[in-house]
Amino acid sequence: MPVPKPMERKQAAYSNLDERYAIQGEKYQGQQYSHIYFTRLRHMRNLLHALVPSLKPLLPVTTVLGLEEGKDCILVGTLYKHMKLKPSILDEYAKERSAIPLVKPHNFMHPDDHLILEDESGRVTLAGAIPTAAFVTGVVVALHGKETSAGNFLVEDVLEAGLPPQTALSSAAEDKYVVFVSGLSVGSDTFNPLQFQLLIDHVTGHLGDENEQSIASNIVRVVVAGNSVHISPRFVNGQTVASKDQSRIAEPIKELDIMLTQLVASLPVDMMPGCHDPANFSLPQQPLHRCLFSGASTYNTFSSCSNPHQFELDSVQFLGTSGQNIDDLYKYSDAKDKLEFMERTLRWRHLAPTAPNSLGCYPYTDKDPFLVESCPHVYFVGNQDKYETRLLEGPEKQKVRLISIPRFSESGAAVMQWSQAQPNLCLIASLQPGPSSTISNCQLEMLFDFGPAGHIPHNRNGKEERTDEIRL
Amino acid sequence: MSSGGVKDFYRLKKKGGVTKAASSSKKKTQQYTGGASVGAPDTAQTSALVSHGSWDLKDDFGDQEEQLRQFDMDMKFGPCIGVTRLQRWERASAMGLQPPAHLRDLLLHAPSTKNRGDGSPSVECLWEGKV
Repeated sequence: MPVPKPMERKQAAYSNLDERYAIQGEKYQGQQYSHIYFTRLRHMRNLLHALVPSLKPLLPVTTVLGLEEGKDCILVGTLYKHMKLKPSILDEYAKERSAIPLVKPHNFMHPDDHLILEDESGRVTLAGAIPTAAFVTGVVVALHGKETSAGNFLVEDVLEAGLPPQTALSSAAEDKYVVFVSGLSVGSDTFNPLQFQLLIDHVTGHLGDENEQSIASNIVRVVVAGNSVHISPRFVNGQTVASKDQSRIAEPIKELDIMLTQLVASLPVDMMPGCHDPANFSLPQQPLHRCLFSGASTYNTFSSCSNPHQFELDSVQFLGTSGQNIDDLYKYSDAKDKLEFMERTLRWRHLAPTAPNSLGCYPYTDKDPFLVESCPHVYFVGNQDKYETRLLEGPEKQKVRLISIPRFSESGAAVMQWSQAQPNLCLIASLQPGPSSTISNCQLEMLFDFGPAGHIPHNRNGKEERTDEIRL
Repeated sequence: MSSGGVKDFYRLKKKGGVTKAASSSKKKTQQYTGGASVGAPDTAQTSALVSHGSWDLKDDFGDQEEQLRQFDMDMKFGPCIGVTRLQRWERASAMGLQPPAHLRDLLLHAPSTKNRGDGSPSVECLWEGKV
């Protein structure tokens, strides 16, 4: 029997661009959120003022206070959406406190919602050709229209900033993959350790024959996009934890650390916090502390990253979050799918426009770190219901691969992104235990291989069944 | 505290003449942390007129403080509450709004809140301690 040739994993030049999301240097002085809105408006207004002359020449740009009735003009300001069903902090004082959370609707939209535009001088209610369902509070836009006799602003056209400029991709010779996974939920009822172990084995190259292993050797990075642990709510709802239970609080994290150690021993891993992870609540979430990962943090391949997370691999720009920004958009606006929300955040050039209105956010005084200044090549969102992907093209030849990563504990699927020369190719590997649920009988499905935009997806290898025992 | 009644508010004598009221309201103003609201309910009205432990009568601050207050109130440079005047100046300058340069010198040479005398420019914004 010939000795198999050892395979080497590919390497990629990585640089972490998370400095803008670090809160270490910030000092809280009791400030409120007005500053973050001011910097956002200021920054976006400069952008929009530069764009308006090319789109709508000859129209004057005014402030809200400078509006004249019946005169066609351009207004730039922050949108505020007045929503009837939006939960108000004052409701807590009206209702009785109970241990069970009040049932909230998933989506707070109502036909009576209306938009208001606000700048430093004042605010004006909007009417006309602006789709209320598509916008949320906190978006800065330019509006073309005129003031009506009723005091409203009748919108004729909406101008968004559009996709930011993108740096060109350098063409590369080799194929390299990045694996995205989110919603591992170690410690929850839906967590299946077998599935996670299968994923680890596949990525580290312990699974499959030479074909599979050569694919695995092309994986250069794993990005864990949030919600890796699930701590039982009864430990964190404010009630005292019995001493016998105290050691159980950290069990999910320890279990995650053990499994992560296998992964980091083999390739670089980026760990992002999510809404259920032991990190701060408000965005930007700071990296999980290395004391939580006593095993994995000893490896230099382990990086604990912030949420949102921005990095560069071989000149390909990646940007993504653990899902809070898109989930919040889903609560306050409407779109045909999650990818459309992602597209909108890029067109608005802001990752989380609803922060700080309905999404927790640090009250910065002199910057807004969620502004998207350069267009990423890959934009990912974790903890979504299903896997979806699309290639978004911009007017200045920008190409963004939008990826919605499903929750691993529910779907058993991780996303493998072909990061090199053709960022428009995306494979999904679904690891599910077979009918007898043993590790020696598992199915590895390579589902779709999306060609360049516009092509019909075709099966790559078809289904492959492995019935031999897996040698480790 | 309400012993003086209305007479305490409309005293014609400038600060320094009233010792009892000033010292207790000074104690109240020093209890706050960062821009949070001040004082117990029955002294709320007195606190509104007091600034940094002394009566804040209209003509009692210098021209420099007046300029700085105008800078605070100018909407072009953004909200003023919650940041020190120098931080706001630096922010405005970084954004290219060109705030008046002489104000920066004023702020750098302003005495700290503890030993401020009368009418000298303050490091904090106009509303500090009052809202």
